[in-house]
Amino acid sequence: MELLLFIVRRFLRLVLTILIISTIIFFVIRVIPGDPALVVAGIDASDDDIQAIRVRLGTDVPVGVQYVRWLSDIVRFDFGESMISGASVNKLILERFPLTLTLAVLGIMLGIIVAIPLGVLSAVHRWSFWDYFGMVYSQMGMAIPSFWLGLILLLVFAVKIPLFPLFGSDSLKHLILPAIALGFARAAVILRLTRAAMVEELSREYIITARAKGLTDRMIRYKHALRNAMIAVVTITGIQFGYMLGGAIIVEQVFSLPGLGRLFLYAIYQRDFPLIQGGVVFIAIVFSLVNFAVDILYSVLNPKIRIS
Amino acid sequence: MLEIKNLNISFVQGEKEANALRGISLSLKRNEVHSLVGESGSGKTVTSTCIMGLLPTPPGRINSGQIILNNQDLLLLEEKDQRQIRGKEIAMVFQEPARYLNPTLKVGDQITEMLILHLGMSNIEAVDRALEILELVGLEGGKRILDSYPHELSGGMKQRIMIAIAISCNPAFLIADEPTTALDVTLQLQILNLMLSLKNTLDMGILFISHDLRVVHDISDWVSVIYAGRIVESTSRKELFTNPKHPYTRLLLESIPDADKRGQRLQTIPGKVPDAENIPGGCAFHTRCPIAEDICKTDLPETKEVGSDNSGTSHTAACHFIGKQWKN
Amino acid sequence: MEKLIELKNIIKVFKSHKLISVKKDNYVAVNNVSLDIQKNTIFGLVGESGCGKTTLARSVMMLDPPSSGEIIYNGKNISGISRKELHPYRSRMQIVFQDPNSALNPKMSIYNCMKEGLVNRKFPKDKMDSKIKSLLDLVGISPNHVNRFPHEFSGGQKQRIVIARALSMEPEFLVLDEPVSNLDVSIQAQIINLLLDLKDEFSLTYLFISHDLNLVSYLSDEVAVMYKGEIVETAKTEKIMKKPMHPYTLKLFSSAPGKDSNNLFEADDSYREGLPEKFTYFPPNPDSTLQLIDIGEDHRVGCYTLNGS
Ligand SMILES: Nc1ncnc2c1ncn2[C@@H]1O[C@H](COP(=O)(O)OP(=O)(O)OP(=O)(O)O)[C@@H](O)[C@H]1O
Ligand SMILES: Nc1ncnc2c1ncn2[C@@H]1O[C@H](COP(=O)(O)OP(=O)(O)OP(=O)(O)O)[C@@H](O)[C@H]1O
Ligand SMILES: [Mg+2]
Ligand SMILES: [Mg+2]
Repeated sequence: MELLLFIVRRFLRLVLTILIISTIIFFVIRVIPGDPALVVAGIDASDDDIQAIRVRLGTDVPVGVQYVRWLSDIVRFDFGESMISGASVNKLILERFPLTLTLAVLGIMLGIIVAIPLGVLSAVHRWSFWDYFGMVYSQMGMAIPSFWLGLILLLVFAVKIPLFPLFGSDSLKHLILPAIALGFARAAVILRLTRAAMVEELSREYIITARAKGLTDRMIRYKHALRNAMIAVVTITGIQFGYMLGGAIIVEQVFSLPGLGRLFLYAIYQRDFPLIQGGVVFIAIVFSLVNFAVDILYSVLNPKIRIS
Repeated sequence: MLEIKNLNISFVQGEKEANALRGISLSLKRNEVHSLVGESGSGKTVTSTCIMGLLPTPPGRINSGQIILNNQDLLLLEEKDQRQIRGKEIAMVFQEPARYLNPTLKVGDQITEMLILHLGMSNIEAVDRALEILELVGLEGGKRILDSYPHELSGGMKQRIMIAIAISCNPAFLIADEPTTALDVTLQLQILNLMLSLKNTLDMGILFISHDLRVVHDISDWVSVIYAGRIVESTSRKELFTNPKHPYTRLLLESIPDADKRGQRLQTIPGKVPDAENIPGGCAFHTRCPIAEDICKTDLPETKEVGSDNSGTSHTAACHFIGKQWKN
Repeated sequence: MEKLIELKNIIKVFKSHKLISVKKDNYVAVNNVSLDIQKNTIFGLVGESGCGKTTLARSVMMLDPPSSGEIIYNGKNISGISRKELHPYRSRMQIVFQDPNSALNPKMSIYNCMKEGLVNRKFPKDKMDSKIKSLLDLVGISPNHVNRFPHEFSGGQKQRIVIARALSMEPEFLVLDEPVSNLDVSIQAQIINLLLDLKDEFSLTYLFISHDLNLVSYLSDEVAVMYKGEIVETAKTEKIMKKPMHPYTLKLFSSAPGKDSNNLFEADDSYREGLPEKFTYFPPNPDSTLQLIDIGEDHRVGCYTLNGS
């Protein structure tokens, strides 16, 4: 019951966040100088043409009316049509989203599978081989840009040693290298924070109690410390997952993958305002949902949150 | 019996060496509360962590001494064998239950994990036993308590849980490091009474650590006074409170505010406890002592029998001038 | 005797400030407290943790103004007045907390810590040095140490510095919120003696908060016992020590360590020793309100009027 109440409250907060973000996007786009209708119509267009485009874009009515329309569109999850291709923004986004999502999920799995165990290991055996390995890795991970890593990966594992395909996006195999390029830096962040969280928990007083009980080191580390460290780890992993959706734009470019990233990039090149707007709101919604999920998970892990 | 013999411990940090314990000897009998009382920094916690085998080394270093239980020296045991002692033979209760309990683990798990580990119980047996222990420490509500997290319980309840954890494997000895300092007077009394009744029903020996002489007065059978890492006086409770010998003990007793002393100035001890890094030579107390003479600055006083009555109760103190008076 | 402070029906409610909250949980931390504090005396306030002692003290000092009720300081009601009018009272009332560490800025030398308050008070610059040194000297801190930082002092010394800083405002009224609870007995005695000396020297009035009954009964002239936000008993210290009335007071007194008999006093609903006929200690129905009745010589006990009388 408590948990349910908590979930409802967090959900209301999620809705509020999305509302605020949509409002900001709406006004930012209106503030950018230049009339989108002029951009679309080109230099030679007549006044009538421009007016027609305005009607199509909905920019012919006062800003207040536009805002109300915009909000009601969002509620119905309808972002209009692309100015360039005329296809519905929804359809465009939902077509591309699965690929980007798969990429991000693969990337975060890499982080979870590699970074969390390595972080725990580094914390438990401080100044051991694994700790130094982890340190070197996290330094590199944070210093190497993902596009460069992507290019190197392609060069080595697709060109020199052709283990993976160079182009395409048909199978999971196509996504492995991009996922590594995407997850590498995120994993470094997760690793460092996991180590820090674990080191901190191991210095807490309840660990002394656990030792005074005569528990084995394994129980102390994995039953007592890790459980508490996970609270912080889950939060940062969630945040990293959010970052990955953004990071995908670059990696998709390097690997020529037809994901959301490329869609939005072209939308920006071509000043496709409805697509840009829809895209940003969509990303914001996904981001908020991830945060929402993290919050719920967090409260399951941390009994203190639930009652407050 | 649990015997601590001549324990000498330093903390080494770079060039600096802090001599935290300078030859502590204590003996703890079953069914007895032995209090260790002294001011902050005198070495009480170091003593208890060392008995539990929890002293961090480094920075800690055991220079000499023995801790003898069942004819074996705990300091010589390997970590694996020490774990068999911890929790099972000697258990510990800490000052701040809120911080010494795992916040994300139900208190039930925190009690039963030991029963499962040390006594080889099954989960169901362990829960049954945990329910019995809860009753023993006066926590009503059984299963509901086992299913709660520490933050859902009050301070007094948490301290009872700490005690429940400590006594769950029926240890022969219990070390309680300021177990009531963080509690209210009413809760404090409850916990003290609980410890006394557990001592009797479980035939436990309790090392009770405190800086509050009034609490020590209420709970102890035997009292040792510690100053700068040495025991300066040790005797039965009655003897200590009616016939204190060491000037430090005498001053401590006189400095306690009390309704009877209304209108009088309190006795004070000038200065403060020396820190373990630079303990004065000779008798460490000479810098604050009203009866110190030159010899106190150079010669460490021996611990000697100073008992005046013939009841046979041992009363030891370490002072060159036992019995000497001073003017206020 | 003259009253320095009169509290009339002080109530302090903490409201919940959640944006989207399902149930309103307002918490009444101080409930209808009325007290008088006489000039140049020590008023002891005892009660268990969380009963509202600190909250009451902060209300009295207008640090956290009460939700309702009046605070009369030297005959003037200061509870409703503007910030500007309140300003002169700010320095006349000072507070010393339990933990000197949180009261002293670790990055500031003792000299600067002391100077801050004096500058605020527009103390003449040329006399600043000698004033700070004499204040520190007063509390037993060597004036040579003015340039040291808080971490270079022991707990007891830090508490002395906090007291010196409070004194620099030349207060008439000091709230001492468990000022010695964190200190060792020997240091505690030094601070207590110091506080007693200062009281006589500067004709100060203290509100002394503590849960150490032995200490309060040693120190204070009057005692009030607080329980769950309400005062349940108040009297001259000798009176209340000799004849505690309210079951909670009895429980508190019988719990204090260092007595030979210490059995926790458990009062049941029939307990009413010494209480006039038509009253009871236990609320006859849920909405009855506690009242303080005088049982003679200003010994007041909190109780409820029995139904039907
Ligand atoms: N880990 C450590 N490293 C360095 N010095 C230490 C360490 N632990 C304790 N000491 C020193 O040992 C001395 C004794 O400390 P201990 O904690 O035993 O005091 P205590 O009697 O328990 O005091 P308190 O009443 O404040 O708990 C102190 O001078 C302290 O500074
Ligand atoms: N700012 C605040 N907001 C909400 N509740 C508060 C606030 N300050 C105090 N309280 C609550 O008011 C009650 C009284 O607190 P207060 O600090 O006055 O107790 P106290 O008697 O001083 O206790 P202690 O002896 O532990 O210092 C407590 O239950 C506390 O949780
Ligand atoms: Mg200690
Ligand atoms: Mg308080």
